[in-house]
Amino acid sequence: MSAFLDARGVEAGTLITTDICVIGAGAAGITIARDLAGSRNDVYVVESGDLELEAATQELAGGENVGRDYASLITTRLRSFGGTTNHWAGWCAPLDALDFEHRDWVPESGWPIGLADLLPYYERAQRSNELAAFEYGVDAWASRERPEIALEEDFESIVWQFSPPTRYGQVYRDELERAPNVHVLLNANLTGITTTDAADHVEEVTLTTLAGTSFRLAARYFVIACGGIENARVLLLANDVERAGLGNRHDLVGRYFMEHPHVTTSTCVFVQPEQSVDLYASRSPRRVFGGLGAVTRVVDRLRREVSFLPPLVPVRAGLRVSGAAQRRDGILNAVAVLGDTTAEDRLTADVQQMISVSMHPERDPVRPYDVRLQLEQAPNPDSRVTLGDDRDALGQRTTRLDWRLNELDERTMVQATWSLGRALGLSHQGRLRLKEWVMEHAGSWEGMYGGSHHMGTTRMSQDPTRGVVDSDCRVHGVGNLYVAGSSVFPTGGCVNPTLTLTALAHRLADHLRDRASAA
Amino acid sequence: MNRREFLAYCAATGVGVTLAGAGWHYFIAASNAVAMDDAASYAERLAHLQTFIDDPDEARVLALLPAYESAAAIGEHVDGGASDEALVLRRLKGKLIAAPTDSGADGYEALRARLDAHVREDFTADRVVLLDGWLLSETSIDLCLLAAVVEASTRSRWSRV
Repeated sequence: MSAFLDARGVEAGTLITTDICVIGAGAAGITIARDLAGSRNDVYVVESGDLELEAATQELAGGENVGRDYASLITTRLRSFGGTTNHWAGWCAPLDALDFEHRDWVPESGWPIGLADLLPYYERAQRSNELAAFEYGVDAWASRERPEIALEEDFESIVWQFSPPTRYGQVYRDELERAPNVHVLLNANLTGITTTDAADHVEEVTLTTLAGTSFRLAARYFVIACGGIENARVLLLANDVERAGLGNRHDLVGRYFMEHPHVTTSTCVFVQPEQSVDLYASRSPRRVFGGLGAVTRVVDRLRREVSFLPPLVPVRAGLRVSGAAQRRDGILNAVAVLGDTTAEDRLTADVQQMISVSMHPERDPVRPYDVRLQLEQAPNPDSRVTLGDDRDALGQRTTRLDWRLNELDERTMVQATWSLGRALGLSHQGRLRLKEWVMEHAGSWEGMYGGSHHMGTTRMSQDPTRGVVDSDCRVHGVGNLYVAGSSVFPTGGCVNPTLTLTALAHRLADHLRDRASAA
Repeated sequence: MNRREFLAYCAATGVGVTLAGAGWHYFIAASNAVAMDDAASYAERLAHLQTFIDDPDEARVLALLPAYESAAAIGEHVDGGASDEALVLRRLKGKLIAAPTDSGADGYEALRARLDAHVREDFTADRVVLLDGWLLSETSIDLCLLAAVVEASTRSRWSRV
């Protein structure tokens, strides 16, 4: 049986050797370790934090925001076993085929792999995230009680499945403990990467505890799986040989930082006020159990104990801009999610009644919904992660985040809102009310926030001048160094990244297993 | 399958078929009732409007609105009820009841279908009006304007159907 080791018990100067070293124990790192469990390769998973979150370690995630307003870097990601899955919300959906393609109207778009390449791994990611079958068509989830909102043009319904959410550190701890070839090293912070003189091969890494004890870990292969911001920082800090940072000969590491801007741009009413839009406005289990959260929790617990029971998976639908509309309007991907609103006035009631197909519209309750857009962000080299001037408790330079949006992002937000209003009207489904700031000061992005989806800082491309990693997630020019996580996304689509980053982690694990075996 | 199982199977099938048939009958009857209610409701509104609107076509057009007060309020919001009634009416007649074959006797369904088609065309061709942010079709706005003018001129006689 393998062990969970505490780095605080390792003697200074010790050299540990292994086959594969995975740095970071979040969704990506744990997925890779699970897939390699039982293989002939010895695997070390290195985690900065402990099994539970500790303030001193979490402080290492600090940094400064110098761009758009953004959540504190300390709260937007977590440094403990399980990583940021310890506080994620569980929204899961795959990217669609167009998200992978090069789009003429989106500079620097296009993945070197396609949806078909990732489909088998999406299936595996479903299980890792405790989801139902890989079924994201609305037909599979709509019902008479929870019907589809069928828009004739420009928008199509997509579905999110909700992970419980899977806390990777809790759910997969036993599995990793049982794996004879996997070792988890806690409280070990990466403070150095030693390469060959040509910086084309990583020889070992230096790990340091908060108390200052350092030791080394040598491996045949290294995977950096520290999160969408930290992956870039780790490479930038590894500047002993390559002064600009490891894998950064073309000044790409840290650039192209992307988020999913979330912003409420409108409200809407429907022609059938009594018609349920629950499929779009709420998660399903609350409906299944009539709001009895305790029942949901009991059933969920039972499901965990009795493995043959099908997962109880909540779903929620959104209205996504179709590929044809993206092409026609030259915009990015975006999805609209309905939510409760308190924005109700006399004019809202009048519009609802005026368009209503009800026999007695005056008797229907006025029921407007907020329309929140979740937008793809354009790849933008000026939106970036760099190293700040401050230093953390281990003496390493902290993160400086400069998140920027550009004209294409703004145009997508405005156009998607207008298109949704048009589509609701011509489909006889409802009417939309644009927020005043959308019409007059769209650049203010009023009330916008990021989804804590950090992407793009070590983007994937087969061309070393356009990407940090290749299609195998291997750092260009460094033979045994890989990056896992959403930092490799060249574009981020409009849905939450966890399912895709988990699928990529499964794919990378297969690659590492094959490569290590061949070697 | 033994005799007892066979009889049980037949009985269950019979009950199932009976329930399905009853359900289907109820569904069809309910659907027809809704359609009939729409037409009946339209006729009721039309009869009421004809008591104080001289132009029969104007009454037919306005009777398409199931919520007069809301429509009138929206029209009032657009221009304070100051629209040129004749002009608005001419536009609406042109869209809804000026077909060459229109004998003036088109029923609710035909008028409703034309209204829906024009609203759809408005949104398709970007013939839309922004009213405090609400994205509304020009045809709908015309209906509201007409309702507002009639509301203003016949306020004393206007009441809910």
